[in-house]
Amino acid sequence: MDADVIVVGAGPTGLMLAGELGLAGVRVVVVERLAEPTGQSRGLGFTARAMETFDQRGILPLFGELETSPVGHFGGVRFDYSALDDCHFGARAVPQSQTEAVLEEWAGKVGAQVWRGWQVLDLVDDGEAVTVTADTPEGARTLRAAYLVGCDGGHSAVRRLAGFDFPGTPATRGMYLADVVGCDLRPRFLGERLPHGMVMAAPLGRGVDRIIVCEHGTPPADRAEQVDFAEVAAAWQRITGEDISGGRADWVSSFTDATRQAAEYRRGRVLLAGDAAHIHLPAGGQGLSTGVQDAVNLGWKLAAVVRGDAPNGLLDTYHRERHPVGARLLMNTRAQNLVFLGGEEADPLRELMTELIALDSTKRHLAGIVSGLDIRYDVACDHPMAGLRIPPRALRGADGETTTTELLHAGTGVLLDLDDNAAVRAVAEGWGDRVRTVTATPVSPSAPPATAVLVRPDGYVAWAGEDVDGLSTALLRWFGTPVTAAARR
Amino acid sequence: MSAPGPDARVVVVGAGPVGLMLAGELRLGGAEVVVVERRETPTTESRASTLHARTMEIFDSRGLLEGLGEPPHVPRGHFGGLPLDLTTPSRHAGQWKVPQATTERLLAEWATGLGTEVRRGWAVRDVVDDGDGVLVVGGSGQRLRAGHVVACDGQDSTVREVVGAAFPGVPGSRRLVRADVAGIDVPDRRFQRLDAGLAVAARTGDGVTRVMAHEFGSAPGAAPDFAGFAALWRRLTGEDISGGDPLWVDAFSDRNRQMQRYRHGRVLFAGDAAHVQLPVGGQALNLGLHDAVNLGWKLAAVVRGDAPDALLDTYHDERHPVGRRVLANIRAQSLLLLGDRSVEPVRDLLAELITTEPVRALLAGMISGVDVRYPHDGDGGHPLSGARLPELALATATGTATTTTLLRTGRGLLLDLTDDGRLRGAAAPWADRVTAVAGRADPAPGAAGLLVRPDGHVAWAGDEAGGARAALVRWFGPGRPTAPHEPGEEV
Repeated sequence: MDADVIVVGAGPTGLMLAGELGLAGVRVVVVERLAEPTGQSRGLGFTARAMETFDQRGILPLFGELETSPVGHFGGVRFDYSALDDCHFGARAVPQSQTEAVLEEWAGKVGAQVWRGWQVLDLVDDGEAVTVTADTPEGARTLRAAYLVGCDGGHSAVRRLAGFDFPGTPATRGMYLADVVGCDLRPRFLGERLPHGMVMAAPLGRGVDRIIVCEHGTPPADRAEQVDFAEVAAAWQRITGEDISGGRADWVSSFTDATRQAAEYRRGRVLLAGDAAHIHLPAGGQGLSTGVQDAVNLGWKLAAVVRGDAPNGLLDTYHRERHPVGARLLMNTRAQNLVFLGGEEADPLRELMTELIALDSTKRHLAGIVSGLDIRYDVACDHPMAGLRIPPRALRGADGETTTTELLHAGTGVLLDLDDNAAVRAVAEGWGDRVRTVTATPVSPSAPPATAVLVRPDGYVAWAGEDVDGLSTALLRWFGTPVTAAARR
Repeated sequence: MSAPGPDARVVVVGAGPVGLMLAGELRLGGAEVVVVERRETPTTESRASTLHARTMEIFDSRGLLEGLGEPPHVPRGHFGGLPLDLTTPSRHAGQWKVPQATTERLLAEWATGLGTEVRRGWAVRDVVDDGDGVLVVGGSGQRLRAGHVVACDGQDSTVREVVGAAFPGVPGSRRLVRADVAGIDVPDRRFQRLDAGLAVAARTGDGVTRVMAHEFGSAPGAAPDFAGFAALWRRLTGEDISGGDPLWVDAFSDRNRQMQRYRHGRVLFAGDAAHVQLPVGGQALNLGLHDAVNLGWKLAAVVRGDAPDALLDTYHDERHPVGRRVLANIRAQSLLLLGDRSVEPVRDLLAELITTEPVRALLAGMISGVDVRYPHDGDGGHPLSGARLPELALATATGTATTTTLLRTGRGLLLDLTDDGRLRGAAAPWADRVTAVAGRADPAPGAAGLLVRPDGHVAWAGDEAGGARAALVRWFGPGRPTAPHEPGEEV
């Protein structure tokens, strides 16, 4: 074996996964088709939950100052995402190239290797391992590993080569995406609907504007097709009446509302994550964020399987947990597509959504969907916190103050003993190599919602309760068999 | 009141539910009414069959509920085909299934019992408003002079056409077909979206099944014959209903239009004549009935000479926005019901949102009509101002009564809820139009006094007699002089 895991694709999803695996001590190689990062930044930010996810690994400071916006939209209807606790519309104006640079630096630090210029030509899963054949700068090479994860985007070669089914709906609208220079545009952060289409413009600094142009009736263009700036400028003028042909573009690309999802996220030793598993209309940075969260859901599970201490069926929970999240992502982006980009016929729906969004309960619901904060996995525990992400909260322990976020930096499971309960600590002793037990009390004066909380490495609550009932079952379910006292000695 | 001459007469065109409701309201207000109706006999075909909570409240406030017997009650309705619990703060929450023929018969009996004259077989050919009155010309040249004409002659209103009124909106783009069929046995379906279209089936008690269908992509057009309907049904559902016995088959479209102005001088429009929409969830009939109840007392007051002509403008000002909102929600529902697969995600999302109580309550209030509020200047900003008065029980010196029963005279109501009865005297100059009642209300509405219009909406909610008097003048016209020193009156 050349590695434990091969990750195909060095975008945000692949790099996040590589870092997760590296953090868990797994030998991981990322192979990337492009010899150099593109510098193109399709994704321009990430959601509140993606931000929390980065924070849980201590990566967030590497981004420098991040600006979050409380005000966002759903289907073009503005509202304040802070109606939901801990929520906002995400970090804005973070070029994807920066996100990739940060994640690559982090993944490298924890031992992941990134090999560029590797184009995957074939892969074979023989039941024991996966062998990849690739065209590389040094010629054809093969690479063999226990598992392979395709994080190679919407046009995923892995998905095709491994025979994944990718059902969904074909494109009905084509759109342009470009970073333009010298166009002196009025900002339209949340887009402007005009009779002939929708335009969005967001200044990125130094005279660069990110624009999206969606002209009614524009035939869907293939993503791979080359688009030139003159074409975009002409469409811009038809919609807005503004002449931007005197400017230029750093880069131009096109995309569509084609919406598809892999029917299964795992076939044998091959798995899919990110855009390779789901494509949709971009809306609110959800694509990048969902990919990153796919990676964080998968990383610790795959690491446990590679180490050999995973409980039965753990790897299958990746599809079981993330496929429904992906389906909901497709649902909400499709709904936003119709409400935002639909023609006159959709006006009453937009009016209805506007009226419903005025209700706080609707704001919270939609903010939960778009931010990813409403994700709840079925963890077979009926405590109100179970299956939800652990919210970022300050704790005071024997070693001073910490946070639920900081405790997750190491990528292990965390058992919060919030009532100094020796019985809780005793139950968890056998999992000490995989689960860190922390005795602490919440700093916030409000009563803790539980006296003991078991948090998975991905930040989701596997179990919560008032005493030890169910704790050992949960530890077995998520972390495998305990090490016996004798073995520990 | 002036002696009823031709110019004091109101001619209502159309003896459907809206026209008959209006006629009864006008009679309650003391106006002379003639209803002219093209058809010789009332329809026996039941198209609209749903009465919503607000309509039931109105019927109750006119003593009409008993005439409905005990109609089937369906607490659950839908929004664009998504199940929606219609619970609202109303005694009559939910949907009540009443065949349109029954509603028409009941309203006809009530209106004629109050002195309405109904002339059948009278088709309107022309309507001429000369400023002082209106001449209505019938199909065989017969003439009828009136002070005002109200067109309640349905979606293809002749009056709207001869007046040349603008009727802007969205032309229909889809055809729905509908039939009552005996002798078939198909599963009941509430808005089942199938691969090729929409199918609805509801078996009624008498062995008749109401079926409705839309095939995705089908453009508006004439109704098919029953064989054509059966073929369409088979394409959608795979079921063979061709052996059934059709009572009737009709077709309609999702066109959505609303008059720019509900009032054209002495000619006014109500119900489907003023707005056409997909008959979804029974909102069309209910909306029309509410138009009639808003207009009736106002027109009667103008005809009597009590209120200035400007009161009639409030009919348009109040009902046009309500119609606009209902038409918009019906367009949204049309898209959710009849749109192709691309609307599924919006349906899924709305289904999630409907599980949150504020969204459910908002949509239920909208569908059932209890959320209607007529905002007006100087209403004091009380939460009840402009809203329909939820039923209150009143304990008075002489016994107990509900606001619903007190409204049955069709007069306004001044409710004096003060301990010392200081507000009731304010209504003395309007004693011929407004009943003043002092007592204790349950539940307490959070105001010392309420002025309730004959249509059940709150004209004023406040604590001071001055506010009551201003509202009385505004909605009921000038008062008449009374003996000085009314007992209990304070300024």
